[in-house]
Amino acid sequence: MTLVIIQEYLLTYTSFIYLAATFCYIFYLGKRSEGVVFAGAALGILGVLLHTAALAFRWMAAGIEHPPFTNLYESLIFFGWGIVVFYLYMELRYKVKIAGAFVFPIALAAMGIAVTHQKGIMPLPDALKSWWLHIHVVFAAIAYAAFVVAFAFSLMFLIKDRVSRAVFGLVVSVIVSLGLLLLQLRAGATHLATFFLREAQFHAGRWFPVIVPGTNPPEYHLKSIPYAGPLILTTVVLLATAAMVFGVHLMRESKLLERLGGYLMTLGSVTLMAAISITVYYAWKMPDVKLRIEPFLLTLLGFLCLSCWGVVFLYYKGRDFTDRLPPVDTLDLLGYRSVMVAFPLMTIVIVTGAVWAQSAWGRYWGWDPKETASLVTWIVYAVYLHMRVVAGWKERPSAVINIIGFLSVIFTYLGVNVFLSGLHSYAKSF
Amino acid sequence: MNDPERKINRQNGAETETKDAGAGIVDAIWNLLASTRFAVILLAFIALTALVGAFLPQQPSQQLLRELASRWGEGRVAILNALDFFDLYHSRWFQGSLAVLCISIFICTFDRLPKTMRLIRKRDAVLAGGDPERMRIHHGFDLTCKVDKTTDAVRNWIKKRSLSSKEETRGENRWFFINRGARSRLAVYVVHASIITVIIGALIGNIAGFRGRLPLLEGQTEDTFFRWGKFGGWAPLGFQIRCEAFSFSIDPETGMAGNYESDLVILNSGKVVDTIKLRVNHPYYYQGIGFYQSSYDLFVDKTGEVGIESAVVTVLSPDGAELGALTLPEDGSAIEVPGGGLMRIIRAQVNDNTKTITAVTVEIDTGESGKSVMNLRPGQKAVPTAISYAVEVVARKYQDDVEVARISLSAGEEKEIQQGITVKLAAYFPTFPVHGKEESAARIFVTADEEKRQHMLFESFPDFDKMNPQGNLYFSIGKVTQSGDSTKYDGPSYMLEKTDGLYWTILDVNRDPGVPVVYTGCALLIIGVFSSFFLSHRKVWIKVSPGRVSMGAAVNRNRATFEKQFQRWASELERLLSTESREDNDR
Repeated sequence: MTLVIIQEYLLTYTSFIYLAATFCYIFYLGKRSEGVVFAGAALGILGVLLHTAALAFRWMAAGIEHPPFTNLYESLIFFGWGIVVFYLYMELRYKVKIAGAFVFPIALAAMGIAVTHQKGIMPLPDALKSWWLHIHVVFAAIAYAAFVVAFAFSLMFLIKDRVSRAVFGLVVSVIVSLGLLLLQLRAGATHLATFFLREAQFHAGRWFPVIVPGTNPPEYHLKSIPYAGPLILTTVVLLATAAMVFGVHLMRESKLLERLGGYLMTLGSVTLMAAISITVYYAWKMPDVKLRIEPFLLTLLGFLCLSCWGVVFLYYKGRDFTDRLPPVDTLDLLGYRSVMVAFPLMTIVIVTGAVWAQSAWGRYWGWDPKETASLVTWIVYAVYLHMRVVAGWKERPSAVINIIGFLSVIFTYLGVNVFLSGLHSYAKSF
Repeated sequence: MNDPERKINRQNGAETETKDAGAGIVDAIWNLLASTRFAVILLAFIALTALVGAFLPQQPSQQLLRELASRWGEGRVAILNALDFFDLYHSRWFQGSLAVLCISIFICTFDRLPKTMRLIRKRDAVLAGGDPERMRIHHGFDLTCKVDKTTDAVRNWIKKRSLSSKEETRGENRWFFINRGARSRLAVYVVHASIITVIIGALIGNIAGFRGRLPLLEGQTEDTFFRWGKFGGWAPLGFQIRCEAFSFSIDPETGMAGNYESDLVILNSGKVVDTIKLRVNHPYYYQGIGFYQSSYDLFVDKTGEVGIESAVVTVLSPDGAELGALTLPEDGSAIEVPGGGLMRIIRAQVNDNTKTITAVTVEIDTGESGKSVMNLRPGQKAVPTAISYAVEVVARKYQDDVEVARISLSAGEEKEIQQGITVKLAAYFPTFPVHGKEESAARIFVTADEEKRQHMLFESFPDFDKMNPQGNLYFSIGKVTQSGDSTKYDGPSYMLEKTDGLYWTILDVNRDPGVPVVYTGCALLIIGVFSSFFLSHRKVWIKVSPGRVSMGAAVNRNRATFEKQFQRWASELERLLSTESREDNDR
């Protein structure tokens, strides 16, 4: 039991170390300083050591038959570990330090969700006692981690390749405003109208449920969070306007419109950040509230916010750091290299999953949502690999496909559990 | 996959073809199916449709379809249904696109394999350009040694490194050609072949296999199973299977059912062939048919009665001492209790998540102090209240709520309310749990036109039974009158010691002769993907000319890794040769 407590402490420290490393790498984006980036890498390595120790302790505590990746909590920890290890390997081998700013926030998000959902060791149900499954989950976490790194390189490629910042602004503002609406609908409002009418829908249902005192198993009721709803609404309006402004600017060049879009984007990012901060603050401060956030929703929200700020950063600091990115060829190659590691592993993941399904349920493939999503991910990367053979589709279009692949990975990993139900419901157990 | 040589061949091929009109169309289709662009678009299409299928309910029940129709609109659901969106993965057009994928892979192979074979077979020791040092990966150094001597040294080095090589003399130059991993160029074809293998395996399973389900009640013997799909229905197994017992455990932390297993007996023409414990994840095969522990359910009869296999009750004296244990008959008949009186099971209360019996509701008739109903739970003492209730049941017309009859019943009593319609009060519950609140509720059986049905009535919701009218009548509770005095009772109290429900074990029954083929495909897929990423075709030319050794190399993938290896070889060779030539000169 004490081993588990040590492990939980270690993971908390690891998360803070990764946070510090993230700050180092992001600082490096804005200002070239070898000392800072060295500190980032050193912190990363220290974090990985503690992280590895934590995983080892957990395994020791659970026994050899019960490896530490049997539920979503453990799998997220392993995913975070995979991202950092794979990234540090790429950094040391190819000497591309700047990518840390893109990769570490994702690892940090995985760790953050995991650490806020610490979970003791549970006895393994029969259905999960299979080495096929253990191989399946380990390779899944590593493959996903490598896909995340590939995504970072492709994103850097697009930035370096001088894709206009208005394009980034347009894409991100459309995705973020649609994403917020989706979360909103998911959170409870069934009609758009109620979204505009009801204050603080933002809290809703599955986001920050409050445990009714004295209930076991816990029952939840909803708590309204002031200002969050209107702030989200403001964000959606600002970003939708920004998208239109960017759209018009792309059709007919106008310096004024471009600047206006930048301002709208900045404002939207500020309101979104405020909404998230208020929600987290209230969720934390309310009496009897145990913070219980659906990992996918939080990740999605975090990404939406992060991508907004990313575009804002690109707007005002873009010129400086674009110059410091490695050459396009290198970024393209590194993206490809990462997929080259991830794709074979993803193949193993699907095959071992099929073998496991055959032994557990008597069918190797049943078009279960998780199976389908992983197949879709595999096909997206197959498309990426084929595109690299076609002249003219090799660079920008394939980088875009790589980014779509990343979205597909996140959907497969976390989204399916939230939006669709299926046999992988074990993964839901938080 | 990232092979520029092939790409160029492909483009040249496309330009030189298409001459006359008739063959033009065939060629155009051929070229389309063989092109990587088409493969990319086709794959994207398959991915997109597969994703749509994950969001829509697949093979929904008629009820769900109706629900969707009311939510999305009749027309939309009808269109989606007509396009097979609700059974997307079995739809003609989805399977058709998989077929097109297979054809495309075939054509692509026909188109490119000969060129790849030519590349593999091409083993000219003499480089076409004549100078290895003009290649992208190269190395060269001067030597004062004689050509023959150097050639021997190079040959020895190649032998020592256990590399195989081809040798040729051209003029006064001696050429060596090291060709490694040429067959790795076939890996892509292995991947493509593996995908076709998997699809063929799936097809075999679809045609020659079947899937089904077999629910077995504890103690039941069955020789048929329910087959899913187009040829669905009850089908013979060819042997018998009996479920002796079913057991499961509940995870205390999650409250969900953890491990479960069935004790099964396989019988062939009446003789026991095998006895097995079937567990989740541990399938059992007999005569090519696989049995998988899928799920389980409590037995519930037509009137909604939950099957109880056993219920043992502890009897406690008023001062808490244990007086003994009673086993209640599961069929609901009454037995005598130590304090005097009769006890019988009315119903079981069930946790719907775990399908376990949480409490048993019993009726106790103590004679002088009347009948009372109580819930027995493990670890909780229940005292008969010695209060009996008379419940007024009101029958109303469904259409206009006009009262038809009003009768007073005590528990177990049955009365006729109209010609051919009788009402029986099965039980009255003063504190029936509903959504965390306790309600006054009654369960009645109504027999009308030979049909006996259960109705649940709640005093505070007189309209509740309107959802479940029988004939044109629905029922409600009018008035409840109490009689008896709870303080008078001084008999024993009762506690549930243990209870067990009667369970169905639900087995999946499958036969899939395509599995070995699919597994072969999977193995090929992994081998193919790994070799196409991590193996490469590496070619090294070494030209020994008077006074200089030139080396050049080409590789089709993973250049950085190979370049390092090449540089290692080159410097090793240089060191070796220069030492030898120095020794030569010293002599």
